[in-house]
Amino acid sequence: MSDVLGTSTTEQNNNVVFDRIGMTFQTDAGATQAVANVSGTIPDGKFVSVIGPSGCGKSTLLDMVGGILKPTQGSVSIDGELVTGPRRDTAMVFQEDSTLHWRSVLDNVAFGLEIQGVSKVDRNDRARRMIDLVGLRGFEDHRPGQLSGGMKQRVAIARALAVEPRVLLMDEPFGALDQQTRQFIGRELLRIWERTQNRVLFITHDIQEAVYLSDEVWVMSARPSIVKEIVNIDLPRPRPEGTHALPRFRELEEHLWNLVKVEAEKTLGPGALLA
Amino acid sequence: MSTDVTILAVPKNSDRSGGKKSSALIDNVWRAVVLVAVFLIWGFLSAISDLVSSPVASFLALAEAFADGSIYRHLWSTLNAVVIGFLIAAVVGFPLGYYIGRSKFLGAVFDPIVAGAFATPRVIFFPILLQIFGVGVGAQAAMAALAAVFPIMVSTAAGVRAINPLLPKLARSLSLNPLQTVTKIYIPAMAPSLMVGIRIGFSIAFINVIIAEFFAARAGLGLLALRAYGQLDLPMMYGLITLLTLIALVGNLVLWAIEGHLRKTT
Ligand SMILES: Nc1ncnc2c1ncn2[C@@H]1O[C@H](COP(=O)(O)OP(=O)(O)OP(=O)(O)O)[C@@H](O)[C@H]1O
Ligand SMILES: [Mg+2]
Repeated sequence: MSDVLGTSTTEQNNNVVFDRIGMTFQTDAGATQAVANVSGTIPDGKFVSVIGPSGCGKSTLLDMVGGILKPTQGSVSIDGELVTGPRRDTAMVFQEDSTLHWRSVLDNVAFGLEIQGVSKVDRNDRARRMIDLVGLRGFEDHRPGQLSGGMKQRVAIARALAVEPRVLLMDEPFGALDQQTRQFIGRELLRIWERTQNRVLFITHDIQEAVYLSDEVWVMSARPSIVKEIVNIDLPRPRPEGTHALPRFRELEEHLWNLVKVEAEKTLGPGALLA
Repeated sequence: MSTDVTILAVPKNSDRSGGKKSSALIDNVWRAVVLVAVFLIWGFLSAISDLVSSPVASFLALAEAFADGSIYRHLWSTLNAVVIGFLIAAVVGFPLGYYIGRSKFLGAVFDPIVAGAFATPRVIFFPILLQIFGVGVGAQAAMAALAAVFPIMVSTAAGVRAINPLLPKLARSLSLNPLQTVTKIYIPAMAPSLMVGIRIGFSIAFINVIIAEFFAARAGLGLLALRAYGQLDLPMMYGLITLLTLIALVGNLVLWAIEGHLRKTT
């Protein structure tokens, strides 16, 4: 799967392909190699999650796919085209609050469409549907400052979904949500994704969430990071609520946990996770 | 005065959604009360002191200057200098502050320079400006521009630095063009600090024009006030003080209106 060079171009055409991508930051304090060498493919219509220890370069990887950070080594291509900058058909949800606090919720969600030149009637219509989808009906006219952290994050998710991206890049989008909302929005995300069949690159540190949502989970090593293992999530879809209780789910979860533990101990020191 | 408080307050968009009318009414009642109190104290002081003229005499002196038309030349000269000076400061200060705030390099170079210049009383340069521009509106306007440009730069740079770093990232990811990035992200995100820059810039331009007119001027409200002081024309002096306060108030009300408009449309 990670052997990019061997695959034919036709096969790559609807894929997101990482070709030995790496990123080294130059700062006053010296050089930090965040991402060492990541290769992999997100096939058309697949949902891929990335897990790995804090600071291993997950957000950096996402920024490179989103075209807002230029890799210092290797390249990413989407549908056969090299990523050289941001693309219209990708949308990002950032790890922290990125709402525009001077705009109403409705205008925030419609922002991407506004930039794409969609007419006001159409974009408000689409934005309203997305607002319903993320459970914010009734808050259309509120400002982000009047919302909780989790609600703000849902605004950002709705904004990304509203442009109906072909590639959706999400950086711990549910980090600020409580467990119930998290699962609810996760199921909604799956429903939308099953309908649109886009590619999703989803960063999380919640292993259960990764297993529940994904077709594949990429486990990243400690920094400088590589993809240490790609775990295929062979659970049937659609995945109803009881999926978490399946024996196979438990197996996958445990396997991932063991992989992550090794990497986290490299970052934090041995025994760090015993407490 | 009661307006001083609101001048410094950064606008919040989340305040008091309920009971807006009744609280605005109460605010206005209190403003009227404070205003009446000011005039009562003024009247009382004029009764017990030779250094203060009564409110009535002051207004009459001012009204006479308007009636015989002698004040317009001075009023026009002062307003001209303030507006031109402020506009120059804005045209120079906002972009410079923006770039100093955004660029690490420019920030490192200019921060200490700007901070030093910010603390220097700029009126010290007025004699030099007089040499360059001669006595007249040009020198007063240059004085105002020189004084106002630094606070505008400082607050703009601070505003740029305070921007949520994810917003430029968002702008990039949504492929905003440079114009959209400035108008749809930077300006609204920085609106509170831009307004602070405008307010402080305007008032500093105003102050410096009046001070400069004290030094050397062909016309201006400062010159007029200085003459009134010299002739011990107390009613005219206090009339001019009232006029200057009114100008400051009107200027701030205009800024207020702009602010409200900005909040609604962005
Ligand atoms: N702009 C930058 N300049 C310099 N170093 C950076 C920059 N951005 C990230 N880094 C460094 O790169 C490494 C990876 O950062 P990144 O944010 O990608 O980690 P992450 O895996 O997303 O972590 P977390 O799970 O905590 O969000 C870190 O060591 C970080 O210090
Ligand atoms: Mg991160």
